[in-house]
Amino acid sequence: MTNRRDFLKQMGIVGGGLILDVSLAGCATNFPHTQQGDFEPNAWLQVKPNNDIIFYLNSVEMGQGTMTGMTTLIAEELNTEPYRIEVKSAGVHPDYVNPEYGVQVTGGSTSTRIYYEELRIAAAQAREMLLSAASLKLETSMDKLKAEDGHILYRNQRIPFGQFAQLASQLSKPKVKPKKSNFRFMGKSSVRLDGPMKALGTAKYGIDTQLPELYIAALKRCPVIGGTVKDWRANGADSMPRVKKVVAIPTGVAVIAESYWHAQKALEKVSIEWEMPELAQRSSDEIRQEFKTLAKEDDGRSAFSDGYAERAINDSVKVREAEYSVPFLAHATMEPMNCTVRLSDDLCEIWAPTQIPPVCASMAAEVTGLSRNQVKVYTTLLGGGFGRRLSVDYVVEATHIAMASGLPVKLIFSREDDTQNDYYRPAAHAVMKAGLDKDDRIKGWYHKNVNPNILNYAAQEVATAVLPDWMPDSLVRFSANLSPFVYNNILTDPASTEGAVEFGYDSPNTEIRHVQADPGLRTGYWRSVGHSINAFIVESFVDELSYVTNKDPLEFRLHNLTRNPRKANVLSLVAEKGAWGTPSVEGASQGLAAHFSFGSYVAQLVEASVEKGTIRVHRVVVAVDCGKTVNPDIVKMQMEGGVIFGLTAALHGEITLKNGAVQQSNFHDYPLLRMNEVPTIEVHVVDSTEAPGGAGEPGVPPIAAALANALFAATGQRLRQLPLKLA
Amino acid sequence: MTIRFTLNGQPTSLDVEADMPLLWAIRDLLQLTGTKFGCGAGLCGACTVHLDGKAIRSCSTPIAKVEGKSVTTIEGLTENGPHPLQQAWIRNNVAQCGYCQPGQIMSASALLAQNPTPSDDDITHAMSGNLCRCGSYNHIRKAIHEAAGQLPPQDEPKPAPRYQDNLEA
Repeated sequence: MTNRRDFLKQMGIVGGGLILDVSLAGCATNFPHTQQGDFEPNAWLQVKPNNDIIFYLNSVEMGQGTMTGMTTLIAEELNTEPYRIEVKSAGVHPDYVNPEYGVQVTGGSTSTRIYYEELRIAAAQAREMLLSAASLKLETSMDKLKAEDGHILYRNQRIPFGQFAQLASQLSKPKVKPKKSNFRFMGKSSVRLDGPMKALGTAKYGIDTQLPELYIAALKRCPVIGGTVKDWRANGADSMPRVKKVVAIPTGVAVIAESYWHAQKALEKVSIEWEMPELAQRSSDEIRQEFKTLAKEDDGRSAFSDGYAERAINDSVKVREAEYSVPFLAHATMEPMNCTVRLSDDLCEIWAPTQIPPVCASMAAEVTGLSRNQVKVYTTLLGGGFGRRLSVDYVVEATHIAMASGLPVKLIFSREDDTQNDYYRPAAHAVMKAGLDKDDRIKGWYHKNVNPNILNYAAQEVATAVLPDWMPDSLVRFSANLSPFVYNNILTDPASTEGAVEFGYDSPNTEIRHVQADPGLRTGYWRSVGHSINAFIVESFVDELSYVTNKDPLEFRLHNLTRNPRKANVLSLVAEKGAWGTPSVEGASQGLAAHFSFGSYVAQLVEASVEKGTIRVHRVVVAVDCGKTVNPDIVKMQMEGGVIFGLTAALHGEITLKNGAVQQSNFHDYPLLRMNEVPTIEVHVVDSTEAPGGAGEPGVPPIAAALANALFAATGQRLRQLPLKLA
Repeated sequence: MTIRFTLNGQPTSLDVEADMPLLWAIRDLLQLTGTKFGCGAGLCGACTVHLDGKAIRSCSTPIAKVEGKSVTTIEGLTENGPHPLQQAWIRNNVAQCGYCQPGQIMSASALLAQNPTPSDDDITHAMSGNLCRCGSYNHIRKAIHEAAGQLPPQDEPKPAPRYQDNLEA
């Protein structure tokens, strides 16, 4: 493992000046792959003698606003306007490990939550060291100096930070605390730092990577994920215009050409005989049936147990039971999967839009036989992530193609490839039971999910990065391959029951169970993960319960939320702002739902109607309590985006299998919400002093239930299956 | 065959097959990457460019169709600084991941060129061919109205920040 100085040199981060180190206290012991004595403090900030102020951003920007948010934290303590700070994407290094996951990753709506304190401490230390260096050089006391907008102010002079960088770098780090109030930038809306390049068209995504002599690859894969090449014929594809080479890799045959279109066109000629995986035996109708049968016959494993739920339900005054189901879903990022690889004897360079750079490195090392520190990963902007780019299949395939061809290549997925070779949001079938006492309080709550886990797929890749580099490759692969066994037979994946376990209502007797049922279609993390499944189920079922009482859905919820004031608060707020009980659109009905995820509470009120059998969503009001905010405007954008992402799933999203092959292919049969279907959306952010919560994901979970609840109010039909379809 | 056309005001010629989509000629042969690939089937609008001022989907336009005509991409939208739409986009924080936005702006600018004060329905009609997975639609609508002068602009935009993708070692 390289040390930090060598790492900075390799990454081209050279030149003198102050490189500020921040230690994420206590992290060293959490990294199984960090070798003894290898832990170096983090490298986030650099001030160069020419007064360049550089922030190495280790989270990736995929639309969630992390570039603006993280830079704002730095700017606040440097007392320097965010746009003066140059943001560079950081490389892969143990210093950048996400302490919540033990691997360098952007996901789980964690960036602001994790780095809220650490980044401000980093910048505050830099400021104090610059001030201290200035006081030495100017022979004055520190209280006569002020740091402002990249300069030290002394009497009437404005002296650039850079003039003190060299001296500052020799000083020891002071102990500092970040500001608690009187913020200049934090908590205020501002222009996004990535806005201009994205409006001007100069922003570079992975797919825009350009290198000298770079060729473009298109890959024909097995119609069933997991199939491998048994035999193949080029049939003249290699002599087509502008085609450079045709090569086979484990998952398919690639044509490498001067343009993607020439590669795709030549690929049509290639014929392949496949080794079919077991998944080829499975189809959606029979998978749904299997899930239903398992829901009846299999008790599964307990994910959470408190009291005696089933006994309490049997003893209740009012009892309700229902079954819910949701389909597999694809991520459908606008930028299709792609990866650029350039190989030499001792170096593998990867340009990838990825949420998990170290796993790109470890998996490429496995493919090439190079060591992990001979793989360099350059992260680019991401044209959407939503969890899809936590998997690195596209990096592995591109590395194989570069190896087999000996050429620098950029592999691009067609939209069809992207839709049919995803890591899908798991399908699920749930059994719900609840009992109420005579005062309409929940007495017993039972929730059982039948669905495939995600970790058995994710861990096969991630293990290669978190297991020690000194471990022989075969042992790393062996350990990684254990994960399906572990998550099929021994452990419950928290992702399967998140949002069900912490469902949030008062209940003295609760039982949450999970039945592992994996048809073999690989699964992955889809914006809000298990919450996207469980919030629909829980918040629809709570709505059902309210109708067996005399209380309305809002009243019933609040009645059963006596121990959850923040959830009750967002519900009350959304009811007030959305005028619960008096729809603003004539003929529309209202529904609401609230859910806690990723440290944030979100309530949503929907106004919807049915026009000639078609569901119309007119208006959505959102109340969010995500604790302290760095940029309220970005929080609002994430809530709006979450609502639309969730509505797409609620109204249209469904991936189905026929003989193992995904049947959807492009936006005509896997449609996304378009402008003509988008409701007005109002977002109200609670002015909160609580610790920061996530923003990227929590807007998604409640919306499907809120809409289903509005449709029940409108039609009397309780829709318990996604996507929502009226009878 | 040799195709001659004007690209962002520059005379351009390419020796390619007549059925090569304009998108890939622009991106892979002419190295202009502002125009994005999203679906390859005219379903998402990420590849929208102007052909003689009209918005077209370059992924499903054979290059032979642009012979003798004028093609404008996001890189050539204006000659002097950002287009009013681009300014409104920046002020209103429209972009999230931003990948679809060049296509959105090309559709919106073709709309404004033809209809300087579009109604909500006009905007919906012109923009529903452009998908945005991040869900920036309501911000897009607001920015179009603002650029059309129907809404007062908010704050002045800040200077463009510096960002390096670190694409080269």
